[in-house]
Amino acid sequence: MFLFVNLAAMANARSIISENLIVEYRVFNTIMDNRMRQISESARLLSMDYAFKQSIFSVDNKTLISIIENLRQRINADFITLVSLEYTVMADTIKPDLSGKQFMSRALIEKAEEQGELSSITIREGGYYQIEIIPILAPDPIAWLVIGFLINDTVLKDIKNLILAQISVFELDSGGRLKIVASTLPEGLKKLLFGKVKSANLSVEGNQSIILGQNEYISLISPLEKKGGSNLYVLLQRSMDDVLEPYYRLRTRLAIISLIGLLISFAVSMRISRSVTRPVSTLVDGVRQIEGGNYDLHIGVTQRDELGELSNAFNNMARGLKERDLVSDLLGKVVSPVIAKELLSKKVELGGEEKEVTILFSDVRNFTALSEKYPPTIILNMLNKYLTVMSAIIESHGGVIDKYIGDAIMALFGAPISHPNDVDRALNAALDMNEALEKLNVDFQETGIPPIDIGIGINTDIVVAGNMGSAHRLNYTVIGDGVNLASRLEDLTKKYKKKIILSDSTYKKIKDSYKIEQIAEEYVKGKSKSTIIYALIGRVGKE
Amino acid sequence: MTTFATYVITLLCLLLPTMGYCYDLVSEVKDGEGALVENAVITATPLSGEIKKPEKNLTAEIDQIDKTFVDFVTPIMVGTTLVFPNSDKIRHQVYSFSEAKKFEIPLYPPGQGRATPVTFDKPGVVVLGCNIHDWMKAYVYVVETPFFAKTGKNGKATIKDIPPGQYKIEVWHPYIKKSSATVKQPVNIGKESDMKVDFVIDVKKALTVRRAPGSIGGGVYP
Repeated sequence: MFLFVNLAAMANARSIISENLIVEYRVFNTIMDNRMRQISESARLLSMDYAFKQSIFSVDNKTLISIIENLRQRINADFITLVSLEYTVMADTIKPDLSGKQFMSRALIEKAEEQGELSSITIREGGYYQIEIIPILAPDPIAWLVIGFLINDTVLKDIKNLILAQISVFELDSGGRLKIVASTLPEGLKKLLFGKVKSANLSVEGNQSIILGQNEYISLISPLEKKGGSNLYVLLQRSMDDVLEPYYRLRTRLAIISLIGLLISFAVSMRISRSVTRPVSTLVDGVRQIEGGNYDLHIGVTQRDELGELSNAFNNMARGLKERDLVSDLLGKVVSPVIAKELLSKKVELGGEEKEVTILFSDVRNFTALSEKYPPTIILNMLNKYLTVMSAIIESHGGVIDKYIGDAIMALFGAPISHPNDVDRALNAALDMNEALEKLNVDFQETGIPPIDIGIGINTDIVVAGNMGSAHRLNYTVIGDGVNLASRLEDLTKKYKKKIILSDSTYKKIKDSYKIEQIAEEYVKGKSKSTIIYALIGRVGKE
Repeated sequence: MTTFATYVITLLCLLLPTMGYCYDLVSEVKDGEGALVENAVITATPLSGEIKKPEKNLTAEIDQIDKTFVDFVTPIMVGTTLVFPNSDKIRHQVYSFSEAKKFEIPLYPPGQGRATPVTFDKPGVVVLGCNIHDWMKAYVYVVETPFFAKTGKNGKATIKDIPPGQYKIEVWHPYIKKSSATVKQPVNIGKESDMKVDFVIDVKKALTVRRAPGSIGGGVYP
């Protein structure tokens, strides 16, 4: 990109220089012309000075020289020569002894005679002069005034201030040797022109490239106008570097600016990415941790943007999750997991609903006597083991532990969630409990605990299920006659020496087949009507 | 313009009947391109060298009108006294640096006879200028012979009442080039075929100060 711009800039610079040089050559000539014109104007004024005219033929030579020297100083010329109509020097400001001798160039005067006046360039004593030859009219010509201005570096420097190009005026002699008359080039570069400017360069039309030192100069060589008999050329040069300098400056600035821009955007993007990716990765990490179950984390994102809000929300969520987990955990321990779930999933409020629930009551027989015989720790240990096993069986059948009452278990089938086979679930649970008890007794025996026996009562009835208690402390439970009946049936197991006793309402709802025998028609405590009770012996097909 | 001298010569001719008839010589002057040349002076000098001195003081005048010398060319015989009236409303100065007569009349006021008359006692060309008006220029052509005339706009000049005899006829012009043939001799005055002598001369451009329009200022004009 830079290379492309560079090439374009170079080409552009070349064409600009080329155009400029042509213009500058014209300007140079105009300036030289103007200089000549000024010279001739001054000369003309001098020539019209009456006292001067008068004195030409009336004073001695020394005075005449003194007079023209005075004129020379008036117009700041480099020399003045007064030439007679016979082409002899009447007076000269450089060489007083020229008086009476032939003027250096009769041809110049003759040309001036022809044209009235003449602008030209001439060499004297090795110096190159712009000269102006004008007649002294009285009122016919009585003599010629030749006024010379040296072409030197200072003159060219003055012009250079106007046209900007480097100016060199040079001559190539017949042998092709270069002679630099004057130049604005620094000494070092001036020397380099030797060998670079040859006759061949003169024939080049338009611009040419001349390398001086390490710098390329676009150069224009043209003959000096009004050069008289001399072989003078003017060389205008502009350095590519000079022209390209603003471009180089611009390029450097652009580079610096783009570098700064790059750095700034880098820094900004780093900052942005940090402010975005860091909290995001922290959040991702947090999410992973939460996924892994660690709710104890707190994300320290303090930004005041959306991510900050997200982090706050995340922290709140984590805290909420933790609390919920805690509650759920605790709830699961305090109440049955199913109830806990029910409680957590719904808005907890007081009140209940009527439901058909199968209630299972189990109790350890002679537990009171047992607890008297053994230390409480062993009893508690035993009880915990017993309750853990039984609870697991009940829950495995979809039953819900409503509460433990000492060694007794009250379990519900059909609340809070109803299943179509709640009765069968309860029956199977009871049968499994008995089976499990046999294994449990073997364990107990090994630890020196006497085997225990349990009784189970099962009743199915419409009861009210729901949260009961106060607004601050409540229980999920069921209330109704059916609960009491289940408890009575469990009591009756002792009387009839049966392990499981079912009520008539339960019996009527059995769907599977079991070994069941009708025991009696019993008047249960608190009930006015008698009810038929059944003993559940086992499953069909089994012993 | 016929000069005062011409009348004198005419008078002489009438007064000297012994010399018989006097003759008029007519000249026409053209330049190399055939254009008629004004202000050329034709002179006739007797080859015998006998020139009668005028009996009276000869006088002539060059006026200054509208910052111009009138006439531009004034041929006179040696010994003639020129007067310089000033018909302008400003002062003028008259000078000559010419070898034949160097003089300077300092600024003098308008009117007749306010400037000292100048007597031209040597033959030759005298260029007159005015040091306050660069473009003002006049030529006084001082000749030794009483027989001369100046060409008019028609390029013709007539020298009147020349006694018969062998003469050298010459032409002069302020801007004549040296290359021009200016002399014709002998010319036999009195001989019918010799009574018209024409010249073709080369005239150069004059190096002079041109008067700028509006009569103020000027510049060198090639």
